[in-house]
Amino acid sequence: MVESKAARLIGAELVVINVGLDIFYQSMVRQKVRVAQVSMPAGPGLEKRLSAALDKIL
Amino acid sequence: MQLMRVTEEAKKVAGVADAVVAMGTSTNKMLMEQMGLLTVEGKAATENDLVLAVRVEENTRLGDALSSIESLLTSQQESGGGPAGGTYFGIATALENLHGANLAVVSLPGGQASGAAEELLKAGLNVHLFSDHVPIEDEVRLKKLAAKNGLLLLGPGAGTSLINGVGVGFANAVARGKIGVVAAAGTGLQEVSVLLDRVGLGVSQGFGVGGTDISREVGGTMMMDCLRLLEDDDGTDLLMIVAKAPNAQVTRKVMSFVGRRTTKPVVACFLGMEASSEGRVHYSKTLHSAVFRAARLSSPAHAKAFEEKVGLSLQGIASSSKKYSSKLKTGQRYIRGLYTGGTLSHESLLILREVMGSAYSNTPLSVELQLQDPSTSKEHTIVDLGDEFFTAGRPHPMIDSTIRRLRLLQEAKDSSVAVVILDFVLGYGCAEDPAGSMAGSIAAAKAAAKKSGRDLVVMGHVCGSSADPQSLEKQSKELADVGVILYPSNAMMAIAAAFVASRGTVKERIVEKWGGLVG
Repeated sequence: MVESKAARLIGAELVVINVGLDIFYQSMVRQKVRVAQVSMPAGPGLEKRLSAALDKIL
Repeated sequence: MQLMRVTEEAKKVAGVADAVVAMGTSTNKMLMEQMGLLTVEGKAATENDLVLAVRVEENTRLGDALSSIESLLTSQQESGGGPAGGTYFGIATALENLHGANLAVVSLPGGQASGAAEELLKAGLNVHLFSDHVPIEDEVRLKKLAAKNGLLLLGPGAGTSLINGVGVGFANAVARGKIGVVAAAGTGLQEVSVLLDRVGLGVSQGFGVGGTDISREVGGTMMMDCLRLLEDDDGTDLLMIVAKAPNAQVTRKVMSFVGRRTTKPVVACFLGMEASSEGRVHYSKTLHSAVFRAARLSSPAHAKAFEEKVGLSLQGIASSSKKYSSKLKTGQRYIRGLYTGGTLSHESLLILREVMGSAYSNTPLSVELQLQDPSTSKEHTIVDLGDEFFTAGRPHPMIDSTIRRLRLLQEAKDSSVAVVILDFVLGYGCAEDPAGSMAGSIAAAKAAAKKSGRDLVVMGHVCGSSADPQSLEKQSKELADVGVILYPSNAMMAIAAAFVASRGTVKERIVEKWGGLVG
């Protein structure tokens, strides 16, 4: 069953989170799509811990 | 990816004959050795070292070239961080800052991809999972999670999607229209969408579901979910399915779903499956014939446009091929296909099997035709350079042409080679100048063959549109300028190659198979 959020995607303005290759982020920018780039050099688990640690510091 | 871009820029620096800027992985060192750029220092480099190897032209100071390249590296670092929604170092932070996100594109290495996709699905986003090497158990689990939450999980291994006119992954700038495509084949969706565009048709939505979606374990679940979306979409009048032929059980399941749940006309291209029609469902054997069928179902004007812009006549191919083969030596008998697109390579293998008997490959149609060493061709060979063997630790050949350039020069030395066939895939995400990056090597390959008293026929198909960032016309001209014979579809190129390599002796077989392959 993919109705609901999947069905609502059709016809909607695309708002994209790009996780990984910068080249796909750049292609979204080129197509004037609202996009955020997530760079994850380490595993997602570690990222979460790093993010939490940074939140405390900042 | 940034380093690959720096490498391409470095080659353009005045006085630089060749350059590589890459991490010291074993694959990169092997390539540098083949290019004659591996020094003692380069050999000692590890995966954690950045290697900058340069060959300069006479009268160029090495120090000047290195300084220019170092400044390229610095400018890349400084240009990091983006406009639009910005750059973040965690998914949660990005979600907090970009309101209304409804799609995530994930291209992390396989080991990290599942976790990221799960986090994004749980956050309520549809996911286009470009990454491959995701364990099948993870795929099944993630697709159940997506279904439970009413979301799409396109992939893993989804190379291309066209959603609301936006190209996702490797995708072309094509017209919107009334044809909805579900593809378990990345360059299959690209070829279909550009051919539709060329004849004045367009894509409403194009969903790439990844090749493993139609495996026995996954059972085509996302393909069926996407077909349901397209059936319910008022902007879609005709449904297309594009995939390498799945196993019989999955094919029955998907087509049974099509029979029960859809009412619109359907063109099903399970590559290699015999062409036939059952009511509103039309099966096509190749990408070329699938688009021709869609054009005929759309209107007589579109069918005519297809014949004029994409379809070549058998007689026309036969006559031009005679001209090309007349310069070949008797011993030049074989076709070598050097592909960046996996589905295009598969389509050519199918065509050569029908008209030439067989072709070897690193991704063969049957076990006995497996190349023992993917780096070395044998008789008729079609190589998928996007396969893992060539991409481990390297960018995909649609982005970086290094491996294909070296392989082309290797094939040119083989006196039994008659024809080399090449695909040039344009679009968002692909290399900035696929034709330009190969042109020098094509000219060098032809010159090397000529020096040995042979002619080398080089054929090309540009899978692209006029609106693509690289421009179909500009890329075609660059290739024609170095003597590449261009074809409007991959299928037509494969047929023409068979004609040339066989000196027309396969004409009867082609006549017999013509309707199924390109009719």
